[in-house]
Amino acid sequence: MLVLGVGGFMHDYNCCLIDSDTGRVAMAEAERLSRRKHHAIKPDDDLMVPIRKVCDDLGVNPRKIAVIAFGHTDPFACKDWFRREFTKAKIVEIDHHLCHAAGAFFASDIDDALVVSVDGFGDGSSGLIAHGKGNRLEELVRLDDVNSIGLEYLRATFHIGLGGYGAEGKTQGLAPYGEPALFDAYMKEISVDSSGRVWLSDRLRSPTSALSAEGGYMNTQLLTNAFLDDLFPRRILPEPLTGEHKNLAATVQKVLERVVGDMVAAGQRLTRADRLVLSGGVSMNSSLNGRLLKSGAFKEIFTLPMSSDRGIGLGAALHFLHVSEGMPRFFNLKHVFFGAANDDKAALKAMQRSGLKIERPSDPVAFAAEALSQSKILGWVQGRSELGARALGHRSILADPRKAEMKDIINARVKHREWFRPFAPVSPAELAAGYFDYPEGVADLGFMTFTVDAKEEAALRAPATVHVDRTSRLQTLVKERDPDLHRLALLFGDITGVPVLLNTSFNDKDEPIVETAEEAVRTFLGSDMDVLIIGSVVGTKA
Amino acid sequence: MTPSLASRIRGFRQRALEKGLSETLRRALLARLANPGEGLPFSRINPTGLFASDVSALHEEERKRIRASSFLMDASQVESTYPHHIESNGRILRFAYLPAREKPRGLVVLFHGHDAFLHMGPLAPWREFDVLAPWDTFGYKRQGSWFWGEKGQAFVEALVQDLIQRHLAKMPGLPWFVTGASMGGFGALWHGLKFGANGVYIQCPQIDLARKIVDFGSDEPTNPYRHLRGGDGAMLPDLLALAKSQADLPPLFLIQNQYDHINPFAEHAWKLLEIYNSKSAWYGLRIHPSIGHGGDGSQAEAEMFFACLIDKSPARRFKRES
Repeated sequence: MLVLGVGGFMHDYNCCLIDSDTGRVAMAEAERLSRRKHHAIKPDDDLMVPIRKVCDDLGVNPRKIAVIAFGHTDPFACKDWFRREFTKAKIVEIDHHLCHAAGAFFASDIDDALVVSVDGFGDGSSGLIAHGKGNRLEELVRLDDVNSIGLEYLRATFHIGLGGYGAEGKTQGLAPYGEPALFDAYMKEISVDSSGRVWLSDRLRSPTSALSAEGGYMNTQLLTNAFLDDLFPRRILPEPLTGEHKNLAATVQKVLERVVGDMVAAGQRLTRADRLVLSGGVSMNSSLNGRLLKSGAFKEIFTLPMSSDRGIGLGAALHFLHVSEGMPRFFNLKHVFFGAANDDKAALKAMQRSGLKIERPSDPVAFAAEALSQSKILGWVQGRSELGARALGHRSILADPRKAEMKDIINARVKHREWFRPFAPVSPAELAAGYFDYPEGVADLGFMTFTVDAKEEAALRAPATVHVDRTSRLQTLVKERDPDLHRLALLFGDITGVPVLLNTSFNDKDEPIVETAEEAVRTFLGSDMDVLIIGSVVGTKA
Repeated sequence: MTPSLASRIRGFRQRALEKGLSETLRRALLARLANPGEGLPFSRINPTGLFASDVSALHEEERKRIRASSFLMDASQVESTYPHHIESNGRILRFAYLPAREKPRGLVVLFHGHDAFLHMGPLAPWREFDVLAPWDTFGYKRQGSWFWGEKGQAFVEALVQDLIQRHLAKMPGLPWFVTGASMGGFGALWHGLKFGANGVYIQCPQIDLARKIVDFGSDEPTNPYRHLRGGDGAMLPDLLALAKSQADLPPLFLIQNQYDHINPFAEHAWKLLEIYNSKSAWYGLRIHPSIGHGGDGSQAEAEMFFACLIDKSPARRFKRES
């Protein structure tokens, strides 16, 4: 049976096709194909684009799809299109947070876990506490969307002037530069009850003035509230970032960690589980995840790499198969390389067309290690692209982490983004513990979903990957999952004595991660990278 | 004392017998128009306070709409919608500038509603007009200053005019027009009337801000209108006085819902149209038979209106001194 999970009708449109007879899974995100970051569906969009891609991946005809599982129960207009287009398919609608929870739990290899999903809002909820056991998912507590801690974090992000949806990571990055001076004041407006439900005060829940509400619209009112507006005026770019902005970032980060920490603790009391599965957009916050990892409260923690709405298609399909159909579990997410495959021919063509100087080294990995050791900044495109917001070494920009100023160089000249944004280290799993401090065997650090403490060794020898608070969003590399990048980090270590690379997503400001060779060349030309390596083809600016 | 329904029916019957049914109906309608507090639908919506609609129901509808739309993304993109900025005296005015898809026939200044709400749809390039859209981040909690100012100081007006004049200087001889809805309707009228725009297309505009202060609760610290005026006796932009003082009023097209609980027709647009009537100025009015603060106006229709003004009216009206 072919089951298509579809989600992200509000943003991050995505789908997942599962052949339940063979256990094969294909996934696609529309933004990689449309080049519109977060791909909010527009009326004239071709909704089939990602669906054709997953059908091609599994080699099946879209007409053979037996079930379409929507990852939202709200009445989105695009659902009518699916009903018209797939007349023979059975249509099922699954609650948004159940999809988040199912996507993470059923993709993990954990059999019995506390499952916590937290996001801004979806289908009227902002969170869920559940108990996952085998192929069952028992909902215990649901958080309504008026009392949304995820939305509160977004409001603070908007108030600091860092952007709207999708910019929350900037707040996380800015937080260590400030002091959580407003923490006590903020926490007077928030409580978490013994069941794990979050309650926001009226000052957090209500808009600043009644004007928008009386007008029957909300618009940016959705992104602010009376509490924030009473602190200081909302920052409008290009006004400078000041200490109060940094302090608000630090505060809301600490608030998030406290609130979700309390939720998780309540969930643990309810389930008595010693393993934790995290999902929902809030669990993209690696500092929060790192705090939970460091707490030592769980024997094992798993968070879905595409835990925002990007993973809703996967969750809808898995929820239907396991919970609705009672099918035994079969899927375990070992990697996220479900995107477009790399192609040397396309790389050659794209580089030739753009006038790049082309080389074909016999060992491109060794070539890359040598270039990195000479402080060259590399565009690195290998294999199938990774799903999710983070580049995990298949569509990455790589650099030498030994000089602290590399962070500023890449922020300003390559990524064209804010000065305070940190960069993540990648390091072979067998060597990473020499540089970073984390509990062994509790979490898979291969997905860059946890921030861990950097050791003195990292701060001294790989400072460009260590944030101002001495933490790093580490990605460990294992040979089986990613042989090329694993070898590259080892070779770089052999040359320099530091087996750590700086890794950031291969994209420019406000654009999705590159998918194809053409896109990689275009972004390479528009930034200050030195070398582009696609498969075995090397290009440099002539 | 209000006459009873029975006596009103008896009176109506008597007049119908004397004047005929059609004449009696016509007179009754005129009487209602002359005294809208009595019985017209639009006068019933704001009998004693600000609201007549069920605001809770509006909120619930809105919540459903937000859940089932890309609303969050739209709101999130407000900053990128207005990518440029000018600076004056340390104040920043962000704006969007969208060149026409074809050769421009003029400039349109598009004024958004309160808190950046775009009642007439997202910004997109027009076919024959360059579009300039300032983002009003001033006023109470930076939610809007009616494109005028704060606490009696009209500095936003000056910023917006600076922006407009910079762009007009680049297109000598071409006309300029203004459009907007709600707070943006006020902004369009204020700038259009005061600085000589060649045409105005507005929807559900606020006209009488003094009235809004009273409606909203004059002493409330959260009153955005009061923030506009500042302390007692400070200046408030008086659009009606401005309209009365103008020798020449620009052609105007106005759209209003039959029931608008925010800017009731009788208390806002009506007053402006009275002045247009008194000066025999050109206007078109469409009352849309629906409820709420909005209307069926669109940017596409605004473009048609402005193109019509250029094509069908005396050319001299649309020449600017270069």
